Amino acid sequence: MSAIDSATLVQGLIAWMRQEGVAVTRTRLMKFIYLADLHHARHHEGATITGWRWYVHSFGPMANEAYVLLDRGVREGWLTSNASSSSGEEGEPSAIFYDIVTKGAAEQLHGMGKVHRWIKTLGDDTPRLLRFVYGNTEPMVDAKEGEYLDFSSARPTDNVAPIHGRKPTRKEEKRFEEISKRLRARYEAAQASNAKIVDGPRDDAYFNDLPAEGASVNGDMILLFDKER
Amino acid sequence: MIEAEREQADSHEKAYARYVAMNDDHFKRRPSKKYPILNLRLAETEELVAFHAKRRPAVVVGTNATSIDGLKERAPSHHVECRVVMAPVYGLRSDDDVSGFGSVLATRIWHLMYRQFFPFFAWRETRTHMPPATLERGVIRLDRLQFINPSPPGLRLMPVKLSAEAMNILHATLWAYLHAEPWEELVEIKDLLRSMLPKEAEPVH
Repeated sequence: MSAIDSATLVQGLIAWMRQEGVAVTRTRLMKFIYLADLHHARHHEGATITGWRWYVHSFGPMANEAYVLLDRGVREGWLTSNASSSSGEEGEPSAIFYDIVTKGAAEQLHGMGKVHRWIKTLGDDTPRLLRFVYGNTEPMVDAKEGEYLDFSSARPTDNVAPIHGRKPTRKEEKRFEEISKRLRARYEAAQASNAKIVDGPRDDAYFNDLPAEGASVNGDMILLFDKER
Repeated sequence: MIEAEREQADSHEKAYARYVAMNDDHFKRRPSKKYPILNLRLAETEELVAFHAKRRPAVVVGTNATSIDGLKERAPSHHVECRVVMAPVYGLRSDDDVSGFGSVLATRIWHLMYRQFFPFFAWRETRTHMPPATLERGVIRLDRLQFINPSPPGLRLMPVKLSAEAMNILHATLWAYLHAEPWEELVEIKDLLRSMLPKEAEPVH
């Protein structure tokens, strides 16, 4: 079970978004809550912080519990919200912006530096954030619109590095140098031999008899995708 | 594959298209191939293919087919003999790329255990007169060779290349991958590195 509750998570994420100068729209906030759940699931065998039922929406992963919590936050006074009269970049008729009332929640988000980094790099570009969520998160692989997401596929992905073996001995280093020297000599001899190969001429017959390649395609297409796959 | 049909039967202007998996009916005459679409110009055994492509670093492994001086003036416009052979670099697994190579396989690749893979080390540009260039470590894939026309926007050259020593071993590996008799030096280097493989990356029998 997570050490923090969903309300603390939301307030902490908003604090980080404000710290990074990211406008806290509902769409962006929703995606960072999802990413926080994903990050937790990766390191806790699929268990999320919120326990919410995420599903695929036209703007990426969504959870109805998020709307309930955000509305509750405004009602109880630990969140404020402002609706913008102009349409947001997410294509919503009007974007809703959130802010926190009291500070300090971010300090409770331990072990979530990765999520903070995502806010910093993706926060202010909603299409980029959505592309990241769609293309780089395990629950979205093969997800179908309207279906609930499965976090059990989340796995630890700390940056992989090759496993360090022992250092070569001095004798092995010398042997490697000697082999490299022979390899270089053989390679240069092969290159010299290759350069002596004489291809056929590039004359009129050559160019006239080459097969024609296809012309490039241009125009409008509307792609249709089956809902059932 | 992209299967397209006219939006309106009497117009070439717009087409609806469906992205489908290739099957045995493609590249031949079939009932679902309806009226031709002028701007697609597909003959009976031709199809439109769509690839999911990703921009990656890539290493030039062959330039012997590039254009010879003066050739371009004589070449027909549809044939440009200036392709370079490139091997793309795939990354290691990370939080930002969950599909990359894992650590055990990467370790074996670092010890030259597979002919189709070659290690690619990280690069951090420190020359102040050069544009910033950062390359993360990864794997050069000889099983994904491509013949690329070296011009933007499809290709952007970086001011860095493999060392001659690395190139020698890479080419020797490529030739072995393409079924040439492996050079004894390559076999010796592989044996030397294999003896240094950490236990965690040893094959499990």
